[in-house]
This record gives sequence, structure tokens and C-alpha cells, in this order.
Amino acid sequence: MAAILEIDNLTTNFYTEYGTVKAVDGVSYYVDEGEIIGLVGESGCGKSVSVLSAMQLIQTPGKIDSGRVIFDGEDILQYDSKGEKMRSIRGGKIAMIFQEPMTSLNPVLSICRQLTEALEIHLDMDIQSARERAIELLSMVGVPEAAVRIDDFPHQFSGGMRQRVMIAMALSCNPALIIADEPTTAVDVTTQAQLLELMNDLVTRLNTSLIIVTHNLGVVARYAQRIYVMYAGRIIESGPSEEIFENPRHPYTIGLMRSIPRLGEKRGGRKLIPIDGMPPDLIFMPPTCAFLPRCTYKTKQCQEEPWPALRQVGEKHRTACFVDIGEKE
Amino acid sequence: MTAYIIRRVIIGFIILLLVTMIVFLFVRLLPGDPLIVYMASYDISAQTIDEETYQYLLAKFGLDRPIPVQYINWLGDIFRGDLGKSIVLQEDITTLMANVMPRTAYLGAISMIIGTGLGVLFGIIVALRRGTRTDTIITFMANIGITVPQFWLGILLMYFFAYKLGWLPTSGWTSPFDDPLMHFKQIIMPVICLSAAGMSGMCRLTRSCMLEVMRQDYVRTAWAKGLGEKMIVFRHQIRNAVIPIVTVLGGTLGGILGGAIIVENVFAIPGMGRLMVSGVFDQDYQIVQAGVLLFGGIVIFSNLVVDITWAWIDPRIRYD
Ligand SMILES: Nc1ncnc2c1ncn2[C@@H]1O[C@H](COP(=O)(O)OP(=O)(O)OP(=O)(O)O)[C@@H](O)[C@H]1O
Ligand SMILES: [Mg+2]
Repeated sequence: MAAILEIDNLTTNFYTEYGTVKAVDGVSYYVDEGEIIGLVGESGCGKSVSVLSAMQLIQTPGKIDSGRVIFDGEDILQYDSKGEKMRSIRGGKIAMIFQEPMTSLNPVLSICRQLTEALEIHLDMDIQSARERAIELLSMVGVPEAAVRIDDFPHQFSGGMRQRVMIAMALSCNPALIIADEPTTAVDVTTQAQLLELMNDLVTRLNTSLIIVTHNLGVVARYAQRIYVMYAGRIIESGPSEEIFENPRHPYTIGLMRSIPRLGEKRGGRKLIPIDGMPPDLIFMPPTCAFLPRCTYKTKQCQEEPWPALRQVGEKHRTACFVDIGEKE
Repeated sequence: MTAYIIRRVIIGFIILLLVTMIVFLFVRLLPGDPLIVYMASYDISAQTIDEETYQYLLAKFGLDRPIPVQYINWLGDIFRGDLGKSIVLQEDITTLMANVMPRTAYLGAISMIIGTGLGVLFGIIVALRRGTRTDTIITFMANIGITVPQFWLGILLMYFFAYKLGWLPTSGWTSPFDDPLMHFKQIIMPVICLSAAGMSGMCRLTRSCMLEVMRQDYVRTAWAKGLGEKMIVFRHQIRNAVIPIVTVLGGTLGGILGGAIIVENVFAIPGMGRLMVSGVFDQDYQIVQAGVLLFGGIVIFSNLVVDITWAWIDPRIRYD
């Protein structure tokens, strides 16, 4: 299987008045054709910035300082960010779904207009056929009475319905990859489950690749084939989902696992342990491992040597930790 | 929506009533007497007049009644379409206004269109080029434009363009039908004066609204869809940015009407503003009252139009 998108050593900084925020610091990941991967980590660890960088959607004071984003064999970071080539990729070949259903749709444009504009530019549809296709898309994502509701405005839709519209919009031009940046964080749990099932169904059916960005481990466990765990702007562990869940090898991942309840677990059975401390300030990063102050496994080596690179611990399993945390404890 | 409009119209009437009441009272409380000015126009000095004649004149103009009664009478006349008669000029105010108002309306409309049009345009340009030299210069000028007093700007323009350079006539009014070129030359400076503040305010407001809108999530969505910058600016940003802009249009019009009072006097334009100022100086109650009624009515009406337009632009707003 060939990687549909490969991010290689991506570095994005924000040059603020307080200093340089190293939001994404040498991150690499890839997604195969038809694959679903999960990108997890605490709030502020650089998940969104990494995917927005791939689409060249970073605004000042942010700047992509190095790295490559290979799509279809070409480094799309070389494209002019407002140019023709980049625009044909955005929405056409790689689509995005954002976190905030309430603010991600334009309040003064009808749902129809917002769905059809991508169809018009990427698929050269005329207004009439774009409208028909938009209605089709809306019913596909489960909006009832799509033919009527198509002319509504975003404020007439509930949060969950708007997120369905976002999904329809993302699917509209048959992209090869969809990046969903916390698509369900802002909706209630039932809606969340419905939306995830819907997305999963559709991308599986259409053989679209999907990157799910989330801080909800349950979500990735259920849908993602592989997981990347980010911490303070870097990937600190990656591997197939089962492997990460069964056998986490980075203290941060282990901490994450302990801090979430598992399905089928007896009430009061296992104690949930939150990770102590706070993630580091991305402006003043320590030269050593960034997780060190919060780590319960730390050794002398961790305090003396710079942040460890990812190393192989299983066939497809890699971790950025010096310590060999054994198989299970 | 209809209910909303009816409610707004009723509120508008109440405001207008209050405003005219206050003005009615205050012009009468001011020291001075329109009858003295009236008599002066007949070369009669105030000292030589006998009490009897004075009482006769008071009764003639209905000024002998208590103020509330005068007000009610005046209001009754208004509803009959009669704005009253100027005490000093001895002419029907309806006729006086019909002569001068078109000039003020004309200058006001031009200033309004130029002020808002260019203001919004400059605002969009500087927002798209924020941080560049264009931005710095235009924003700086807009800040000056907001603070500079109109009479001072008028005199300054006059000094340079009329007195120093001699490019434009100092002041005056020529009908466009008599001499279009002269007309054009004469209105340049008044229009600049009238539109400067509105244009500057509009430019600053547009700039900040555009910058605000550019940061919105839906603009990021539009970029993520692969739209080009032009389409994003015109379809996604401007419509959202103009929503707050539309709301200040009523205020801008009010500013221009108020400005007309000063600018018409600086540039000797026989318009409504000039008439009102002479009305104030002569204590010509009727003219002041009618002028306030007219300007107040225009401002209230335009604010209503603005709010309806607002609902039309922003689908989230539905009045009921
Ligand atoms: N415009 C900006 N200016 C300065 N710093 C920024 C800006 N945008 C993002 N950052 C910084 O980049 C870091 C990564 O942000 P990012 O949005 O990628 O986090 P995230 O992992 O997506 O978090 P969340 O789960 O809350 O969405 C944050 O620490 C943030 O402070
Ligand atoms: Mg995020």
C-alpha cells in the first residue's frame, strides 16, 4: 500500500512577541490509501497546527520552517500557498473538517451556496447540477428533508447537523484524504457517536483515507488503524492501535491510558490516575525530554541527554523514550 | 417584520415629538426676541415701539399664548402640512425649505456616497494590506480625518486651494444648470469637508471588521475548500464585515446633516444648514423648529431603513 500523504520532519513555529512558539517540532507521519489514522495528545500539543501546516493554512505569526508534505509524489509545501496548485488540493484532493460546527460555516451564506462552491471550482459543475449534487450529499450524511433544508442558513441547523454539513462538504469533491480536526469535540456524546459512525461508514465505503485529530483515546481506539501520540510539538509514540492500547511504551501514553475509563470496566474497579503536572511552555522548551518533569520512569540518562528520537520497539511500533518499559507491568 | 416596522415608526414619532418639544422650549428660553429682529427689518428700533404695537405683534405671530398651547398649535399645523411662516423673513417656511433643501440634500447625498463608498473601499484595501506602508499611511490619515473639526478643515482647504493656489473659487453656489463647471468647482471643498469624518470613520470600522472576519473559522473553512482569495474576500468576508458597517450608516448621515450646518456657512452655500443658522441668529423660532423636525425626521427614518437592510443582509436577524 502506498502512502497517500506523508509528512516528513515538519517544523512550524509561531513568532510571537513573547518568543518563538515551537508548535510543531520535526513531526513525521503518514497515512496509507484507505487508512484511518489517529493523532492524539493533550490540548495545545500541536495537532491542529501540524495538519493545518500540511494544507498551508497557517496564518501569521505562524511559519512553516522546514519539512516536506508529500502528496501524490510531490512536495506540496513547495506550492505557493494561495496559488492554483495548492487550491486544487485543498477541498479537491484533501478536505478538512473542523472542530467548531457553530463557527465553521459562514453565517450569511446558505448551506446550498457553501456546498456548491467547492463543486463549482473543483468539479466544474454548473449551478444546477451542483445544487442537485449538494442535495444528494446532504441526504447522504443524514440530513432529513435535504431538498428543503438545503436553502437554510447555518443558524437554522443544530450543532450536530452543521457538522454533518461539514462532512458533506468534505466528501463533496471525492477527496483522497479527509483530515478531521476534532470533529466531534463540540457536540454531545450521542451525536458524537453518530457522527463518527457516519464518517467511518462513508470513508470506508468511498475508500477515502482519514486522519482523525482528537484528544479522545476512545475515538481512535474504535476507528483508527494506527495511532500517533503527540506531546509538546513532537510525536512521542506511534504504532498500530491495538499495540498502543495493549502495550504502550512511552510514559506519557501509559499515563493517558490510565487516565481514561475503559468500556466494560467495573465501576470502582481500576482507579483513574490523571497525569500530574502541566505540559511544558512551547516557548521555553527544555533541552531534555519535555515529559521529564511529569515522568515517573525517569532515569539519570533522561536528565543528561537531549530528547530521544523515536526508536523501534515493535514491528511498526516506535517510541521516543530511553527507558525500556517492559511488556505489561 | 411588519409589526417591527410599525413599532419602530411609532417609536420614531415619539422621539421626534420629544426632540421638537425640547427645541420648541429652548428657542423660547434663549435671550433675545424675534420681534426685535423683525422690527429692525422695518427700521424700527426696539426702544421706539409702544407697548400696544408690541402686544399686537405678539398676538399676530401667536407668541402671546402659553408655550404648551403654542406647541399644540404648531403641531396641528404640521399635521395639516403647514410648517408655519418665518417671522423675520415673512415667507412660508415650506417655500423657503423647498428652495434650499434640495441643495443640502444634494450635497449630503454626494458626501454620503463618496464618504461611505471610499471609506469602505479604503478600509478593505488596508485590511488586505495590513502592516504595509499603505496601511500605515491611510490609517493615519483616517485618524486625522476623524478628529479634525469641519470648520477648520474648510478654512484650511479654502486657504490652500482658493487663496494660495487659486484652483477653486473660495465659496458660493452656482446651479449646475447654469454653469456646470463652476458648480463642480464650488462643491469640491464642501463635499470633502462633509465626507471627511464619515469616510475616515468608515475606513477604520471596515478595517477592523475585515480583520475580525479574516480570523473567523468560516474563513478558514473557505480557504480549506480551495477557494481563491478574491472569492473569499468578496463572498465570504465582505458580506460579514459590512453587517456592523451598515448599522453606523444612520449615524454617518446624521453627522453629515449636522456638518451641513457648519459647512454651508463656511462656504456660503444657501442650503438648509445656512437657513437654520440664520434662523437661530434671528431667533426665528419657526425656521429652527421646522429645520429640527426635518433633520430629525431624516435621521430617524434612515435609521429605520438601516435596520431593515441589516435584517436583509444578516439572515440570523429576523425582527418580530
Ligand atoms: N496563532 C497562534 N499564535 C501563537 N501561538 C499559536 C497560534 N496558534 C497556535 N499556537 C500555539 O501552537 C500550539 C499548538 O496548537 P494546536 O492548535 O496545534 O494545539 P492542538 O493540539 O490542536 O490543541 P487542541 O486539542 O486544543 O486543539 C499551542 O500551544 C498554541 O499556543
Ligand atoms: Mg486543535
